[in-house]
Amino acid sequence: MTEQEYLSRLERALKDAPEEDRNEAIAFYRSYFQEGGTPVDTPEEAAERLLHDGKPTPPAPPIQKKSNFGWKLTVLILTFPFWIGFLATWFALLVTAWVVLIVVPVALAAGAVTSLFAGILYFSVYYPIGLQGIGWALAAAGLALLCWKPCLLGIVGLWKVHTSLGRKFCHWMKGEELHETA
Amino acid sequence: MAVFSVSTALLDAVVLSLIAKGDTYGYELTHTIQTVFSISESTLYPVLRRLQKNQYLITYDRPYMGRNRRYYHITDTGQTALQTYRSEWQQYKKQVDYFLNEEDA
Repeated sequence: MTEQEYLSRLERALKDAPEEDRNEAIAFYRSYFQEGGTPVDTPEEAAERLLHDGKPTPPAPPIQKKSNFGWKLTVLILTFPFWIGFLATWFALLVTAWVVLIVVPVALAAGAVTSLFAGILYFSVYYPIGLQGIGWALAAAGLALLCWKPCLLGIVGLWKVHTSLGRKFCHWMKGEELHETA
Repeated sequence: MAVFSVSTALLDAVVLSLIAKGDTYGYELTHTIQTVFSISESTLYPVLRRLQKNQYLITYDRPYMGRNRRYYHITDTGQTALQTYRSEWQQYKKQVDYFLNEEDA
């Protein structure tokens, strides 16, 4: 990089710095070139170091909010007749949903297996019934294959939604800032 | 690759001490320090600028081969700061040596 190029890039990188700082820096690097030296760092690195010197962007101090934990807890306990029913219903529905999501694919798979066995056993006795059994087995197996994945996703999804809600509630109770950990 | 890094305060002290031994200009100063520490000019320049802003150093220009060389000179405030740095360093060195020395201290 030539002296001219280096200095003009440095000037551009320092465009937001006070004029005096910029001129001083340019004078320093110009004479560095004139003495025969070649800067090892890029002008942008040089500018960055100069701009952030002495103030290494401190992590913003966490805003201490008053927690109000006691108040929130008191209000929650006093109003429990209103929300406890809702919460219990919600919990029951959630458990039901989980059970259904587990049972449906398992039942379909089990149905497919038993129908298949029954169909094969009946085949020699009275083949239309046997054929029907195998048909049902294929249908059940197909449905099981179709629905096991959405069911699994549903189970995991419901779990994630509720743990996340729980965490947010705890944070809110403690009056903490929410820092989403991605 | 050095294991221990030269902290900002140490670099300030080293630069002050060097300039206290005789006025010098940016390029020469960089080279002198680079004979011991591997630091770049872009690390050194902010140190000089900061020391200058703290009024530990002043600059003056002296013509050299048709242009000006900017020399750095230590002020009285700078001398006081250097004394503080030196005694702080002695103390710090003792503290580290207390744990790191092989012989029983």
